[in-house]
Amino acid sequence: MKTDKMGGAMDRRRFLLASAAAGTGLMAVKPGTVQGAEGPQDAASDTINVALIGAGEQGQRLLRSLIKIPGVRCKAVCDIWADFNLSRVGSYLKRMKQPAATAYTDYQAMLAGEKELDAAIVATPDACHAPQVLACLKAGLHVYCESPMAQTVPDAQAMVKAAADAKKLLQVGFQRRSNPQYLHAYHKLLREVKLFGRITTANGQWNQAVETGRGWPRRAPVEEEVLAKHGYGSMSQFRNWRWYRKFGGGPLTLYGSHQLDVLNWFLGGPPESVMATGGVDYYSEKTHQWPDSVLALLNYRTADGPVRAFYQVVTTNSNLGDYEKLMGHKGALILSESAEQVQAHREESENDWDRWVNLDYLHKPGKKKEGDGEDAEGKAKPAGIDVTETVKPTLYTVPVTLTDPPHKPHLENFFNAVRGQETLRSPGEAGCAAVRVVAAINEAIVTGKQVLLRN
Amino acid sequence: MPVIMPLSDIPRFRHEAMAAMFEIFLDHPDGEYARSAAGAAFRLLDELEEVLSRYRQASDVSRINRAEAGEACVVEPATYDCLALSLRMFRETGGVFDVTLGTGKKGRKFVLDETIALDEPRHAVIKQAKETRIDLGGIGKGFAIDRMAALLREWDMTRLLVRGGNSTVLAGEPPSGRKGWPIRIPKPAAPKSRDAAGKSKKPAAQNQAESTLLEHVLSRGSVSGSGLRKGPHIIDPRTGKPVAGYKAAWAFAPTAGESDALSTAFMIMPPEAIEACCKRRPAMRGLVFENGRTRWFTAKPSFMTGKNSGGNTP
Repeated sequence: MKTDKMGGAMDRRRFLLASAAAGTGLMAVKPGTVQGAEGPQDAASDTINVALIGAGEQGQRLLRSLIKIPGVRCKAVCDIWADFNLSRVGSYLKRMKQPAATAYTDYQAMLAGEKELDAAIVATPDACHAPQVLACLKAGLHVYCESPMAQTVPDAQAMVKAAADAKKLLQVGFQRRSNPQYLHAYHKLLREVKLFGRITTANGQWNQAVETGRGWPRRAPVEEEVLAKHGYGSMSQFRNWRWYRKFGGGPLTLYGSHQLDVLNWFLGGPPESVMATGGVDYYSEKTHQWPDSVLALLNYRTADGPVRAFYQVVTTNSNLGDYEKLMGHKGALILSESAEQVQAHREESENDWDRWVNLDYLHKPGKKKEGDGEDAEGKAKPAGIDVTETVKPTLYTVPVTLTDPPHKPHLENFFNAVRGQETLRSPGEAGCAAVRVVAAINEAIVTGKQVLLRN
Repeated sequence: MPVIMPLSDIPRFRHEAMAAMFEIFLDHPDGEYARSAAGAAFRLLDELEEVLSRYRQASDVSRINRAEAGEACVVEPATYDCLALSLRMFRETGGVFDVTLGTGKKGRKFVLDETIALDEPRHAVIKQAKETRIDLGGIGKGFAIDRMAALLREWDMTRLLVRGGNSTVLAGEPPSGRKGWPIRIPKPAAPKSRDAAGKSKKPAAQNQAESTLLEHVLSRGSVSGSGLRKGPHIIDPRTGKPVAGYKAAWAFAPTAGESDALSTAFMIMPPEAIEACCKRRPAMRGLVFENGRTRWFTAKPSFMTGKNSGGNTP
C-alpha cells in the first residue's frame, strides 16, 4: 500500500489512476533517441501489471516490445489456443528472463482471478474487441486495444463512452501515431514549416502479394469444443478469421484502418464523403467473405480547403507495397512504416529546401549522417535540361532514425499516459473515426453511391 | 555453388528475403498442408530479417551498431543465438570468420570476441567498442535456414530441402524412394582468356558433365559454397588486408549456419587449419578448388553419397 502526501493510505491501483486522471504533459519521447537495455525505473512510479488478451501473432509482437519497456510487466496472458500460443508465450518469457505470467484460456476468469492488474492489451480477432475492452474497463483497467477498435460504429462509440465513464485510458493500436518519422513529418514539416504548401491531394495504398490461407501444425490444434464455444466452424476459419464477417473486417479493416487514420490525422479529421468500389475478385467467396480489392475516393474538407484522396487495398500484387502520400503545391510527402520509403519530394518551383537540411528538418541522401541505417546514394542531377523528359522531383528524407520495432513507441506512449506523463496519441475517439470511414467505404461498395459521413 | 537438381514431382515454394531467393522443397502427401507450412516458414524468415539485418533501422543488429561502448542491448532470441553461433565459428576458425566491421585505433581491425559480449542473465549483447559494427551477412542466411527447417519439423515436414540464395542448402530426410536430395556442384568458371587484340573470349561451351565438379545426394546435413566473383583477392578479416584465396570453397556441416560461416572462412584458411577445423566434429568436411584441382579435408561424412563424392583429384 502506498501512502499519499496527506498520510492516508492509497492502494497502488488508485495511485496510477490518479496520475492518469491528470492526463496532461508534453510528449516525453524524443525522436532518434537510442533505445538501449532496460533502464532504471522512475522512482516515483510503480510497476504496471499488464494482461495480454490474445497471444497470437500480433499479441506476441506486442509482447516482444512490452518486455523491453521499463516498469511494465506482463502478469497474465489469455488465449484460447493453449497448446500453441500460450505455450510459445511461456517459453518466450522464460527465455527472455522475464517473470512468468499466469496463463488463462478465458478472459473473464482472468479478470475475476487477477487482483493486481493495471492495464490490458487486447489483441484478439476484431469481433472480440468490444466485449473484451468493455469488460476490462469495467474491471478498472486501462486498455490498449489493437486496430480496428471495433467492427461497428455503435460498438466503437460504446467503448469510447465506457472509457470516459470509468475514467480509464483507451488507446487504439495505431502505432504510426507514435512513429518518430511520422511525428517529425507531422509536427515539423507539415504543421511548423508547411513545407509542402497547400495540400490538395492525398493517396494511400496497401498492396500485397497473393497469400494462401494460414494453416496450423497438425500436432497442436485447438480442441473442437473450444472452437465451437467461440463460434468457429473449423480450425481453418479460426486461423483465417480476418476474412470472415463474423470475426473480422477483411483487408480494408486490417490495413485501411491504420492508413485511413493517418490521413485523418494529417488532414485534421475524417472525410466528408466517400465513394468506393470493391469485391471478392480473386479469392473464393467460400473462404473470403470481404472484398479482396478495394478502391476508394475520399473527399476531405480541411481548414486550408478541400483535399481529394484515393485509397486502395490490393491483395494480389505487392508492387510498391504500402505507403501514404500527401501532395501540396510545393512538394509531396511519402510515409511508410518501411523507414527506407519515407521521402519528401520538392517541386522544382521551390528552391530553398536546403536550408531545412541545414536546420535538420530534412536530410538529403548522399550527405553522410551519423546514426543512420545504411543510406542509399543520392543520384547526380543531370547537367542540362532534357526537354523530352519531365524533370524528376528532388528527393529528401527525414533525419529521424527508427530505433525500435514499430509498436514499441506506441506502447510506451500508452504506459507513460497511464503514469500521467504523456497524452494518448490515438485515444478511442481516433479509433472511432477510423471505424466510421471504413464503414462508409464498405457501405459505398455495397450501394454504389457516395456516402456522407455522419457525426 | 550448389545447384539443386530438378525434382519435378516435389512441390517447391519460393520467397525473397535478405536480398536472396529462398526455396523450400517439401515431400509430403498433403500439398496444401505443405504449402501452409512453407508459408509459416517464410513468415518466420521475414521476422528473422527484421531483427538480424543491419539494413533495417530498428533491427537488433542496427541497435547494437548504434550502441555506445558498455551499453547492453536486450535482443531477441534469434539475434542472441546467431551471435552465439558467430562467436563459436569465430573461435573454431581461429578468427578467420568474423562478423565485425570497422577498425579501431592505429587501424587495428576489431575482432568479435573483443568487441561484443553476451550477457546471458539479461539476454543482452554488450558492446565493448563504440566504433565497431556487426554484419551477419556471412551467417545469417544459413542461420535462417536452420530456423525455418526447425519450424517445418514442428509441422511434421521432415522430408525437406531449404535453400537460401545461391550458396547454402540444408537437407532433411530424403524424398520418398530416394537416398537423398540430388545436388550438383558446378566447377568454378574458368578465367576469361583474351584474343590477340586483348578482347575477352567466351570460354568454350561445356556440357553438364564437363562443368560438374561433384554430384551427390544430400540428406540430414548442409553444404554451402563460397567463390570469387571478381578479382583474385578477398579480405582477411584478421588483418583487414587482401589475400589470395582459393578459387572456391565448400563446407559440409550438420547445420546451415555452420556451413555458411565455414565456407566463407575456408576460402582463405591454409589446408592444415581447414583440416583441424573439420576434425572437431565427425560430420564436418571441407572442399577447396584451386588451379583446376580439388582437395578434400577429413573423412567423408555419412550424409553424403554419390558420384565423385570422395577422394582428391590428382
